[in-house]
This record gives sequence, structure tokens and C-alpha cells, in this order.
Amino acid sequence: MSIHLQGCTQCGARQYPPRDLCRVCLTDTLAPMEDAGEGVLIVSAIVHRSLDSAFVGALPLRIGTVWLDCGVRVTAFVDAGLVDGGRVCLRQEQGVHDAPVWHAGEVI
Amino acid sequence: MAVRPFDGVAVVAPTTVPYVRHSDKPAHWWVGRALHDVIAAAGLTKQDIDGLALSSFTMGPDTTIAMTEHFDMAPRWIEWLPTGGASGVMALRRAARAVQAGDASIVACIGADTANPESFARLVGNFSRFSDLAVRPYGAAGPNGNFALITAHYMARFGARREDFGAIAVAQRTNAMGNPNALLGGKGLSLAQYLAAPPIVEPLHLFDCVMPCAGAEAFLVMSEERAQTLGLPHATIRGSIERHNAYFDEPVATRAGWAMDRDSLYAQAGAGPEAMDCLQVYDDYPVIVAMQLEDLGFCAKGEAPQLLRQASLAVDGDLPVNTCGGQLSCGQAGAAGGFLPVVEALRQVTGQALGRRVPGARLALASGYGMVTYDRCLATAAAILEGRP
Repeated sequence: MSIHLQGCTQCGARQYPPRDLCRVCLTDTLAPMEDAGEGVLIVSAIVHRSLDSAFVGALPLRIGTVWLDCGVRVTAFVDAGLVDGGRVCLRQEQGVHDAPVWHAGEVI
Repeated sequence: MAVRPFDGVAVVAPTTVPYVRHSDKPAHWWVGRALHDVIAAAGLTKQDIDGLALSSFTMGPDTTIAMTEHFDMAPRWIEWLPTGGASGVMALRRAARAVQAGDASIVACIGADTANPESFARLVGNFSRFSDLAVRPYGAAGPNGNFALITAHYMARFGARREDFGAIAVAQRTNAMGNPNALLGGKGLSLAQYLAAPPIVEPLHLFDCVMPCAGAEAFLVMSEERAQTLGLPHATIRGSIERHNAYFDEPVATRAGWAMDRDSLYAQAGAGPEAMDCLQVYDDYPVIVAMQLEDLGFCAKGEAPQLLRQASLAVDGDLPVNTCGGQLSCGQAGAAGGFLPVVEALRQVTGQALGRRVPGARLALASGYGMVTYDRCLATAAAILEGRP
């Protein structure tokens, strides 16, 4: 499985969240680039209180910080059973309000 | 190039517009009331104020320039500080340089915000492009989500326990006793109560989180000569630093800009952390207090938990921290929370504390931390004030 991340066609840097120019070399020649989506789940936390009523029925929710091998960090939902510090793989799903969201799951 | 000293500049008239949990008044009222009170505290008139520096999250489309029209002022220098928790120290720094350069004679520095049940969710819902796109869709936990991750990571990496963060919350609540402006000051907090609190975003529980409220904090910056002529108790600025987006390569924040610049801060002051009589740090969450103890040189990185097990942060303790109770006890009045460390430092070193005073306090360190646009606060600043009562 692979994901797409914004990357710079000049210097090759990947970035997230997306920007209008490359965060490293400041050129605007950006394009979606394929990435394995693998990295380390640095840390996770359990959300019990939300400011958005759309989430209330789904609480508690586990969120985490994933440090991808390509050098970017991503906030993601975290599947049950994953351990902080372990290897994970990102996939994209549709979240509430039709926003695409990252989920960290097991490396297949 | 070495930082030029802040010589000849005085900070006066620590002013607090009493906080309330909810307010039906707009932020403009809170700014105006702070302006009224800070001018009165110094025995001046509105016409004496020729510089105005403001910070607020809830003024809608308005900034400092609009306020000049609201209040019939014609200042020759203005500043707008959209940097929340770091805005107080940043306002102080900018105002001091304006006074040194002669661009302004007397600068009013004000942080003010209103609060109602909807305002906090609205603020979080439109805070930054990154957070709208890449943080809010993950449970809309607001800053509690980001700081739960920072706290959990800090605990795992440095062996901190909930009790260590509890020691901060409990000490600050003790410090708040006697401060009539602390919204939670009348409610004591025991470690058992802290530990038994409901989870918000684990590992954060209720007493790790500040209570949003309305309020304002303010001070004036002028020449030392003017402060002496007016007979005002004042503080001078012994040193100050500022840094933004430090250590941006680190996957989860374990330190922030203070660590990059503290040597400069203490070199400017000609005094180290051991010389500080009290420390007023930004306390949006206890882990950030721990981080500042480390990054400002009161202990090594990762050693704040050990320090907290040995030293008391109470006003009469070994290391008095957030002597008015901090935001954890006073409430977080938006951008005023970023002014609170400066105002409380000024109160302590000039003998104008609202509550308890550190006996004989002369040197105080105030620091700020603001603006989580993605997964950590970006803006850091600190200043050392010396009282000249």
C-alpha cells in the first residue's frame, strides 16, 4: 500500500501539511508524490472530550503522531493494538465533515 | 552581534482587569477598561500615551489601529501582536526599543479577551490553516490534543509521572490563595483531587487544562527617568530573548526556543537562573512549565520531574513559580494569559502583588509561549525584570 504526499520536484523534499511553496528551497514546483506511508508511531493519546458534536458519539478516540520515514510528521487516528514507538503504516479514509483523514495501522 | 542592552527603560503600573468566567461584553470593552485602569494606575492622562501595543484573539476584524479610533487616540507608534502566549514579553521588548529609539514616550501594552460559551470553540475552529486541515479532523480536541501528545511523549521519554505534573498544579493553586483575581483561587486542590479528575485527552485530566475566561492584563513602558519623575515603582529590563519555530525538525516537541537563547538572556542580565527570586512562566499545561524549568536552565533537560520531587514551587518554597497561581488557577483570559507572566513579575519585584509576595523579590524571570498552528507552540520569549521600588 502507498500514499501520496506533497513533494518538491526541485529538491525532493516532502512536506505535510501541504504548503504553497517548498518548505526547504522555496520553489513552487510541487507535486503529489508516492510514498510507502511507513514510519514510527512516536506517541498516542486518547481523546475523551471534543469541541465538535460530530465526534461525540465516537469518543473515546485514539490519536497519535507518526514520524514517516521520509521525514515528515503526521497527526493521525491510531488503530487499536498499536504500541507507541512501533512501526506503522498510514492509510487515508474519509472522516467526519467529508474531510480525508490519516489512520495509522499495522505494517502489512 | 551582541544584543544591545535595554538600558534606560522602565516598566510600570501592573494592571489586571478582574477576570470573569463568561462576559457579554466584546473584547473592545476589555481593552478599553485595561487602558483606563493602566493610565489611572500611573496617574497619567490618555493624552500622555503615544504608543499602543495590543494582543487579542476576540476583537474580530479589528486590531490596534481600530482601537485608536474607538478611544480617540493619536499615538505615534502602534504594534499588534497576534502571538497569544508570547505576546506579553514580545510587547515589552518592542515597546522598550521604541522608547529607547524615541519613537514613543509612553507605551501602553495590553492583552485582553472576552469569553462566552461559543467563543473558544469558534477560535479553535478557525485558528490556522494547518490546524484546520491536519489537526481538527482528528477528534477536534483543540490544544488539549496537541498537548496530550507532548505530555505523553515527555512522560515516556523522561520518566515523568502524573504526580510530577500534579505537584505543579497543586503548588500553583496554593499560590493563588489570597489572589482575589484567581477564579479558582478559592478552591483548594489536593494531589488526590488532581489524580482523581476526569480524563480530557489522556494523559491530560481536568486540572492539567486551563479554564477559558474573559479578562485583561496591562503595563506601561516609559523611560526610567520619566518613571522616577512620576514617582512610580518600576522595573528595569535586565535582558530579553525571543525565538520562533525553534527545533522544527523534532517529531514531538521536547524543548522550545528558550533553550536556544537562554545563554544570551543570562549574559545580558549578568545573572544566572540561581539569582532569580521568582519565575513566572507560561502555564497552558503543566508539561510546559516543566519544559521551561529545563529550557531556562533551572535544571537539565529531562530533569524537571526530579526537581519537582525535591523543590517546592510555592511562594515560600525553594523556587517560587507562578506566584499568582498562573493561568491554571486564575483562568486563561486569551491573550491576557500571555501578559500574565510579565504583569506578575512586575508586581513581585515592585511590591504590588495581588496575593502573596516572595519576600524581598528583586529579580524575576517572565516567559511566554504561544501559537500552536500545527502540533506545538511556535513563539517563545523571556525577559528578566529588576525591581526599583
